[in-house]
Amino acid sequence: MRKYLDYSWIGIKEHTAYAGAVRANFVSKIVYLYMQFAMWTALFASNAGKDVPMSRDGTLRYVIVATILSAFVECDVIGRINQQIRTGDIANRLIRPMDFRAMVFFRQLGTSAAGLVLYALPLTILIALLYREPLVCSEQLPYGILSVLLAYLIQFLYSLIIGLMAFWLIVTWPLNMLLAAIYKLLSGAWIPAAMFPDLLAKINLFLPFRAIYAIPVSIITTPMSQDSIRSELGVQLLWAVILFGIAELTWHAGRKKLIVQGG
Amino acid sequence: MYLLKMYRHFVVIYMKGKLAYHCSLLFELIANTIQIGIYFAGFLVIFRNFDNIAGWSRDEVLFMFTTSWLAYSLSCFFFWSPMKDMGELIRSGKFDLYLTRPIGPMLYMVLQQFQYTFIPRLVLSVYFWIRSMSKLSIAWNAQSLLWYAVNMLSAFVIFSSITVFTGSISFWTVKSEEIVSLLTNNNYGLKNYTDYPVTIYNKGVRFLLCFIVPYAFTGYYPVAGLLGKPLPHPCFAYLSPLIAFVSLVAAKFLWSSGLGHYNSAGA
Repeated sequence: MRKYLDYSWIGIKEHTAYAGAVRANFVSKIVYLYMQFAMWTALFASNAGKDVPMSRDGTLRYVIVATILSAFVECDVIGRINQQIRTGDIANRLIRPMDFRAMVFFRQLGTSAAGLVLYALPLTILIALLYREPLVCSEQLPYGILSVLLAYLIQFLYSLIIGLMAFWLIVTWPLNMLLAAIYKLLSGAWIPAAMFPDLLAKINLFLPFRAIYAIPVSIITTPMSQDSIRSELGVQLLWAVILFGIAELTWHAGRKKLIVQGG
Repeated sequence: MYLLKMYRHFVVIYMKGKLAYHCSLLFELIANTIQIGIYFAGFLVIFRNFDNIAGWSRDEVLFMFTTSWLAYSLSCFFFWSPMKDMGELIRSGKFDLYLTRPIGPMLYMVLQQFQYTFIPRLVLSVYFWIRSMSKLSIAWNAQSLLWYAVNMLSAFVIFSSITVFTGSISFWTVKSEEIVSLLTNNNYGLKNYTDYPVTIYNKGVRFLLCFIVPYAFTGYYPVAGLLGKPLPHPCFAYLSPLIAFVSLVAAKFLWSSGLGHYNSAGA
């Protein structure tokens, strides 16, 4: 266990080493959040009386919580695995007496810990000072936290699978860019999933993306019945199991395929 | 004329290099198309739920930001890639190479490449630009058409100046990538602010978008003037060419003093 935690420590250090980058990242999150805040406020203000699936406060809560979550849920697992496979560096990892996937996971935990402390917490404090409305449904918060943990796992497994695609693809970034774009829209990190047109919402039911933002953020910010909370958590659990299975298959098939370039 | 000829030669060589990796170029274009397409899709999703923002209908907003995006894509063909790389060029000392060329370093850097990854953005912008324009009844006449063209050119100059400005900062601080990303990142960059009428922001931000990073003059103000939208300061609708001129002078000045300041990476 100790040796894995060392990887987490590396992840933390990697993300705290450049103070300038941390500052720029933090500023970019505020830039983003303010734009979302201004946009949704203006949209609701100029469409008074129109039937919108969400309320103004509900939408703002959603956008704020989603942005805070993204500060530690998002990861660079895809890029890192891609690079290790492409350069052959993965061979150096495979000879270590540790499980590759666990190594990646613990390093990611470190990155997330850094994200939590450097971005998520300061953002939360800043928002608590500036936006004086209640942000969360406190009685649903325990379920919300459980849902965030599941979302984190799903995000990681998804990234692991896509990252391992480098075993079969030579150029991986177009796939990453494509998936990142789909992810941005369908996960609900950008626009609340409740506002999607029917067709998009139906397609989304069969994809794992909404389990990463739309479900946990809704549980945290929108009052829901016990039944629907349970079924949403069930959906997440199902996706976690499915993606775990796919990740296992991809990993074992990929290892067989591995040819490290050079002598 | 000889510049055009030189540019043609450079671009042919550049594209040959890119085409050597058969599918990679195609994938890049497809990936970019989807990325920009998703942005438009999201925009349409938002406006499925709402009729207008700050008195601007969906098509008016579309027309406004595609106007700005058209100029942006064209500007990025030339300036985005060299200026994004400035930090790296200076860190590694490779910028010396450009100083030894028989033409100016800026001209050389602009001519030797062609950032084709902005083609999908341009094409999609043109599509939505035409679509939104056909839904709006703009009374075009020779005068308004000419004025619109002048504003488009101003937007091109403003975007290019901002890009050169951010690139020139690399002469002093070696990490300019963060500033470039803070301004132009597709997800959270400041440029995204101008996809909506700037009246939705508070005074400070509006001032920033008008006079510090004058993105508001690339789309919002000239188009508001064209569509006859009420503006807090109606004269702003006519300021774009002036702002463009000032940005150009400022960017030119910063670039030249940066060049003077540059004394290689040592070794």
